[in-house]
Amino acid sequence: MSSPIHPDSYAQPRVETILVVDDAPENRTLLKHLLHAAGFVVREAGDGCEAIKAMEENPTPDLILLDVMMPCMDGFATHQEILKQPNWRDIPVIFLTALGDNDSKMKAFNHGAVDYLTKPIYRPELLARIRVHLRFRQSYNALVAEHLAQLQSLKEAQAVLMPDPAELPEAAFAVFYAQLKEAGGDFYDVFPSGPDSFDYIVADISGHDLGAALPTAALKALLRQNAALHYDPEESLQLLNRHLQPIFAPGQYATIAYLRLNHITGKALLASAGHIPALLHPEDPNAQGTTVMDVRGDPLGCFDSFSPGVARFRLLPQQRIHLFSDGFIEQFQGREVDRPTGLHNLQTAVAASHSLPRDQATGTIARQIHPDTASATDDLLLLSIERRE
Amino acid sequence: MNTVFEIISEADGTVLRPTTNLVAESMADLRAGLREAITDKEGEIRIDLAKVEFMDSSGIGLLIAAHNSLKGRAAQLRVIGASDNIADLLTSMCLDRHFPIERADAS
Repeated sequence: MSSPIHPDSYAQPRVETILVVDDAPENRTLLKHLLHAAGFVVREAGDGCEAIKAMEENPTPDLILLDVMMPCMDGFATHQEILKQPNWRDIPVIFLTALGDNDSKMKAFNHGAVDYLTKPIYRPELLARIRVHLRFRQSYNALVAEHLAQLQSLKEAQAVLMPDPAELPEAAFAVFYAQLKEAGGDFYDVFPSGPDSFDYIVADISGHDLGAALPTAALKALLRQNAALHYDPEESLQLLNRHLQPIFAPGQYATIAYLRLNHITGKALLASAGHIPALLHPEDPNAQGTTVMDVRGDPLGCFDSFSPGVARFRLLPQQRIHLFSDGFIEQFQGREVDRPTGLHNLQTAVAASHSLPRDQATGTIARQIHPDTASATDDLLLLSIERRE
Repeated sequence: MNTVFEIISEADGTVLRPTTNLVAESMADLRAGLREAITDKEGEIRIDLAKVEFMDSSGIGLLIAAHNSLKGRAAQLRVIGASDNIADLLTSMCLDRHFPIERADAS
């Protein structure tokens, strides 16, 4: 689906602003002339402190050329300050410096730079790189806008299709799902994210008010779309946070456990946005107990500043990981329990299921925690995942 | 008359003490009571959970909404008097990255 394009966007193309930060006036002058001639608006700053002040002026720059060695605040420290502001975080930063060694370059990229050019600058190359990064940012913003439009159009959708493990045997998962609310609430999804990898989602959208609840179909569509665009789970959650904020009602949020698993190598990434811990069977198939994977991250869709928790690990053949909804740890056999007690009970039930095939284990665990699902007060969702044989 | 919050004005802010658990069943009253209690307030808004034994996802949402509402005004949110269970729940969701959360024995 394409977003409508306003006719004015053809009639009056927007002139992009570039902030040049360099303590050498002659360098700023050189860059200013070059960029003016290429059709950009140029703003200047003589050091990092001036750069932060310049960032606060309107319009916010579309791209920053940042010298590394400067008085007051060097380029790396300046960039860290820029990254602290949610509205500035996506502005591409190109470091320009006389430091051409690999360590300096890697330091810049590790600090989040999109590019790095060594002085003396070759002018055509600088302009080419600036245009590439500006085009990339335009595409990114257009994608966000398109996603928002999709979310709005899907807001009334209620039907939610959840994949059946029998129809997706290569994903090697089993599920127990008892939906107790009429709609919204908890959901799961499983979909391929590469030739050998699958993504597994367990999510819970807060609130029982169906009118305010984001349709799970929309959230699922975005997660799948992000995976198709090769976003990793951490990046996808970052993007989703931006999408959900304008959609959610005040105080509404989602929690998500997002696992990406390569079934050939066992390489796994678990990202969590405020979700309850996952449980992992021990590496030794004869060992007892479970490992709690308490990967802490911010809940989704409620804060400008969002940071998911991330754990990278290797899932061994026949090892199993379980993702849950909180209905499994807030009640036990019909009684309300505190979360530590609930988690302990769940660990016991999961450990006892270790020798069972996964499709039997999920039901056994669920019956141990909720012998009568009708007495549960929240949705019950358990996803058990292994590497395929 | 606010029926769901005790409101105590202090020199540097205001203490709001919910008189009910922060759960979905009470949420309409709590939202209205909070809105009324924080309107035009400056300084620190301290939500004292001394009388709160249980909080569900809607209660967490109420604290998030309070924080976001106060952000950008001359006010900020601090949660005080939280039981260990509630403090653990809030910190497990990293809410302490966004506003201070104090346990009952610390306040």
